[in-house]
Amino acid sequence: MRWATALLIVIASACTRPDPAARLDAGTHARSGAATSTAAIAVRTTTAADMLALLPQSGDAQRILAERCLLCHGLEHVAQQRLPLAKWTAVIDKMARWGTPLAAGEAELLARALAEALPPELPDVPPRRVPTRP
Amino acid sequence: MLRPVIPLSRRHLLGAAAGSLMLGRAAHADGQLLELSSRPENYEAPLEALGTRITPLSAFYIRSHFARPTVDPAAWRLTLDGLAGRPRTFSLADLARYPQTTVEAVLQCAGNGRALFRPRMPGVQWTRGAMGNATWTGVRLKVLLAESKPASAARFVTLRGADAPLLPATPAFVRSIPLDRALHEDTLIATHMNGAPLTPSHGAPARVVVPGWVGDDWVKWITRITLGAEEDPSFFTATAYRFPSPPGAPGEAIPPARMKPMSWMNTKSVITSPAHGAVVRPGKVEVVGVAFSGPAAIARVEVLSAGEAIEAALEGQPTRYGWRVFRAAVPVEAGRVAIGARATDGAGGTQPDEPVWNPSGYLHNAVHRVELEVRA
Repeated sequence: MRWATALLIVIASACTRPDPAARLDAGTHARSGAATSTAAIAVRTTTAADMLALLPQSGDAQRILAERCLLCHGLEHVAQQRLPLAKWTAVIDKMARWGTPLAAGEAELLARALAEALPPELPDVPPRRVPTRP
Repeated sequence: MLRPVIPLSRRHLLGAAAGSLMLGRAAHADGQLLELSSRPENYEAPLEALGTRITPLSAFYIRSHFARPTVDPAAWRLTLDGLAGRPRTFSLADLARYPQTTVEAVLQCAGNGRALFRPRMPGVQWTRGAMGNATWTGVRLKVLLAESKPASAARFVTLRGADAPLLPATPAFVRSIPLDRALHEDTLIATHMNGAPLTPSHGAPARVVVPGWVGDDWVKWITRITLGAEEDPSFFTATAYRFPSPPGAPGEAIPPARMKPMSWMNTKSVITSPAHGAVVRPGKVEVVGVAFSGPAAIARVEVLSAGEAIEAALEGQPTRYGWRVFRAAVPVEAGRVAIGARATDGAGGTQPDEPVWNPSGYLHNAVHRVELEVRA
């Protein structure tokens, strides 16, 4: 049932602005692919800390994400991906080439954890609505 | 419009206060975008906000590779260099002295629709809202390039903006386009969008505008344009933003030699209302959307329902690079119905039923279908 819990994940930025609570209509976001949002559908936001807790079981993976991956981009970049292990491995290798500090074995640990938590068959979670930025 | 009852927790009040600070800074406080990521800024529009000819800033998508740079307009300079007989530097005041041109054009992210491909690929998971139609005002790039006297060996211009990666090993976002396109009369160094100065998120004080071409070449916060005999060898020109020619099967890896830079957009239409999953009454439902294309203008848009194709009305007059709003009244009976839209351009280019899969998830233009529940 972890994937069902994962359905409720929307990654908030560091500056969280809570949205009004609303239903997430899981049926609309099923295998047919990411549906466009409808007026009736909003999302329950959560903080980055919540997202970390629900992601890979391994505390090491959570730590690596928070310490290294967040240098350059928010966790939403990670959480919206839906990839098999081979593609997670390729993405993490590219991030390492782009300067992410990763010790021996950490890339593989992270790839396995993300492939388990964010596989291709996991339904998409609609992005949250925010006021327009300047 | 009725608002849902919101439990007023202190956290919510603090959030609302923070939100109102945000609204105070926003150019259009009543707009909303969908947050793909806040860092860096990647936001797409909800489709219901895109059903007009001109997309307001409040609904205009934002795409960034890195942190948004803060550029002092007074200190900003655009440098033209490289294989140039007379390298030049322009300030905003300099640009304002040149004749100003306005072009209406669709800007669409190369990856718009990436989330819809199967099998899936990494990247920002745009659905359909990473696109908008606006007027762009500025100086023709050909005029500025003429001032710099391109050498005969020059074949490309490499575009660099003020945004920069955090880590030295991360490649900068740099794009090369053919000199021919840079010299096209419609290619602009734009300072204004929809009649107002560019906002920081949209590339202030100036950005490149390449009407009809995919958004990856519309470099924001432009600071340097370098004439050269070759394309830039760095990642974002040499590897990224390429499309396989010919395409392979879904999931198929493509050898680098078959990956070519993108240029023109392809033919596309998107239904902006009703929304997927909407509940409508039996009878006639008004389907609204937008349609646009590459070199050949939109010839027709068909709205598809229950095996029938209804030719939609196209609003207004066509522009060279802008999109057309289309409308059709579609009869629907009780139950579930799928409504599609398919645009065809003057050269016969149209939309496939299934997207053309490619490893990076670019140029998605499959027929858009929305499912409606029809009940009284």
